[in-house]
Amino acid sequence: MNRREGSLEADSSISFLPHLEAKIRQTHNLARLLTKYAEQLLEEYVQQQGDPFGLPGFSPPRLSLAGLSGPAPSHAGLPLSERLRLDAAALGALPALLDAVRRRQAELNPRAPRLLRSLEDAARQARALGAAVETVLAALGAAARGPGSEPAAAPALSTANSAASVFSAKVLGLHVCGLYGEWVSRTEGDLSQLVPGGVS
Amino acid sequence: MPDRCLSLTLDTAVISPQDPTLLIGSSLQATCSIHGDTPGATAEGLYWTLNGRRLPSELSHLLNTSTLALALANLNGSRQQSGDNLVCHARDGSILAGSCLYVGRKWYGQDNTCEEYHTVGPHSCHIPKDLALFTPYEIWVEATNRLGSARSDVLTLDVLDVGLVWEAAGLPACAPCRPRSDTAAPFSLERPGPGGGVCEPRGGEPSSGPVRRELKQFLGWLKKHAYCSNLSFRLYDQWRAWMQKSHKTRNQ
Repeated sequence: MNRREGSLEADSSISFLPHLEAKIRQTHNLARLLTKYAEQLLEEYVQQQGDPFGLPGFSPPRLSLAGLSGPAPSHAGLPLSERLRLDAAALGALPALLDAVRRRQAELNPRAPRLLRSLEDAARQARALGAAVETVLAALGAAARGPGSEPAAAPALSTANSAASVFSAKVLGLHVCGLYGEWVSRTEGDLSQLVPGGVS
Repeated sequence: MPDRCLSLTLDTAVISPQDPTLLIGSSLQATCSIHGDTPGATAEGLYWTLNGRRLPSELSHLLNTSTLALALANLNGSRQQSGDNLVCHARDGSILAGSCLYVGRKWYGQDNTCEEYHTVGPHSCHIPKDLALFTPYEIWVEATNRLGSARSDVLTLDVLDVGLVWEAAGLPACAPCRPRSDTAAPFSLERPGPGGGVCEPRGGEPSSGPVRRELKQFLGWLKKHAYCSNLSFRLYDQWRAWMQKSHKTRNQ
């Protein structure tokens, strides 16, 4: 492995410690699994909100979530360590957002236990994946946060959120579920570059 | 570091009323108003969709240059528990604003207190007439003495649920019930299908079941007023056990 700062691509001349290799594979597999779950969550979510959510071409305004946006187009061009740091940060911010969506959906769709459970699971799984990515980064000598930077604050919830219109809440939840899928998928892609021998 | 907040920017226009609750069959007057600070914005070309379906243009009209009005009549019940999605669109189809409509059933009456407390035994309530089908009833008990009052949990039931679940679950090979023509039933059972037949339970386990006094009364009424052979409490217990098992399997 090339240990220059920011460069983590697997080097066939260096053998990974078995446990680190296993951890990377495990984390990558988790990300792959959660990508599928995120797709299912999105399907379940749009079904419960009713049409036009889920209809082809449905395109609500892109909402601004201060503190979290989707992976930037420039993400793929960043060094792998930086990409993984951004992945970990996003995964760390998502649980609070997913919890907020779950609480609102508990009011809007109280008789949709599967959706509510999926949102609860997604929050827990995002937290787990984020922690696993940070563990991998730490093991590789690339800390999740660079020196001098402050810990990222999780997006706080506006007290006005509960008073937001139902339609806005539905759109916001859609946005959060979409972000969750984008980031777990992005994480899976980034981790695949670390898996020794490539991804099967 | 300042708090980071969840914020929304669906603010080009606003629909009024926001998230109204309405009765089935009622009408709705709504407006979509574009915010004054939106440059060049006009209500010209705006249109409405309800649950993704574009509404006929004749239902809407311009109130002024920035407001499009909508008139809906004879509303159907909401398609989903989270409300019907009424959306105001710009000419290019983009979403400007939304409002969720909750269209529900009418409350058929006020609270009634029991009139027959002893007909089927002590501490009982007998409701011999004026029960409506396809209607959820809320039943509870209030007890008062010189020391104070207490109120039970609320039981919600539909008198037709038993027959519907039997048939929907397919547990017994049972022909649906039809009213006897020689009795003056307070209401008619609108269940299609052949008359007569025998209910053959397909097996199952007896269940301890909940308090079943009201169901016993209903079964008694059915035997008297409708052609339903082989109805029994044993059949009901078997159905309950099957339902509980199905519910557990679904939740796993």
